[in-house]
Amino acid sequence: MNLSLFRRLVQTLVALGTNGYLLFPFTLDIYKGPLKAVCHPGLNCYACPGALLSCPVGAFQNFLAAVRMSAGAIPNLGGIVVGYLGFIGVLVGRVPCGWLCPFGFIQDLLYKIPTPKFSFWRPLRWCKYVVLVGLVILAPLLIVDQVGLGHPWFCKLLCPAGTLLGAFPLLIIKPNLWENLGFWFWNKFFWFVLIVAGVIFISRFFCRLLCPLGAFYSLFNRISLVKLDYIEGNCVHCLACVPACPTGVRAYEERDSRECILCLRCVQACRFGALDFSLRRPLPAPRKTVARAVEPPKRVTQPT
Amino acid sequence: MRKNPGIEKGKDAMRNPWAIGLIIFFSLLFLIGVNIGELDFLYNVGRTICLSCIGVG
Repeated sequence: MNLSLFRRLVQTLVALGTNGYLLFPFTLDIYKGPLKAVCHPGLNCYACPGALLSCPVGAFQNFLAAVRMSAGAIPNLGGIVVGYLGFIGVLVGRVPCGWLCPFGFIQDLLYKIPTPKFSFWRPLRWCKYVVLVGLVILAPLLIVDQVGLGHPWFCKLLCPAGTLLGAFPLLIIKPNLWENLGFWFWNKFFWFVLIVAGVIFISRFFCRLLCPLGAFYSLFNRISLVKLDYIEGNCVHCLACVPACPTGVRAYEERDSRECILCLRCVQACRFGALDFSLRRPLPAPRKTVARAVEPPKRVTQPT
Repeated sequence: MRKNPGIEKGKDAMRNPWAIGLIIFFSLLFLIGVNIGELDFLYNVGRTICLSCIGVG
């Protein structure tokens, strides 16, 4: 099977499978079963009525938002979420972004809309780290109300997955929520429209600009156990890999780029076998034993 | 397709002494989280409608 077709199949199955609670039109409620104790490896709003798993970003913010409420007990700092995501990150880097993230899949589909396409201004990629530190870690921890409870600020202000997968379906099945819509909803709606517009014109716009989960996984791209291998001897510099990459990585000169989502489109585009998906050895390289050169013969000085 | 010269394939493969340590670290972090009751917290968070996510809270 064609690699891109296989990836599309995996993305479709994961997106539908993890949002497969089909009873919500009858129960008019979200899924509340035991699977909600497990986080999705990608960005998938747990307010989505069909969502079977929790959102790691939303869950982590809620852990931090409730730190001050622990009242003497051991505070829950979200180690379970960080451990889970870090474990995945060390194993496979940003593979979840390219293969498993439902919102990434939606972006891939939206980018197929035939419009003029634009390139992404690369320095903006640092914004997602600001979002990770500012909105996901610091704001829920530091901005608290009178009782000491924080808020999941990324979800509240920005998250387009929450608007698309959470707000829109819930507003349909729970019409009474319309009465409570105010500034926060319309702010999110504004960002949602802006992000969707960006996604249509710029490939993986949200992943590259704002996604805190992608920012977290990207920290492991240089040490993960899987990697994109560049075989210099096979490369003819035809640049076929450049337009194939959805995140604008030049695979032939950027080894282990943090932007690489390991979708393997470049591997498929390269007809010369210069790019390959391979395992990185988890142990230090053995020290090379350099054969000692034979010492040059001592100059024999003849007595004068 | 050109023949893949194995020696070049491994040339830039930066071997990674951190991976095993980090896998152990994150596994421990996860297990500590489970042991101090974070699984229940996560479950409770997951089964309540996130009003912030839908923009009404």
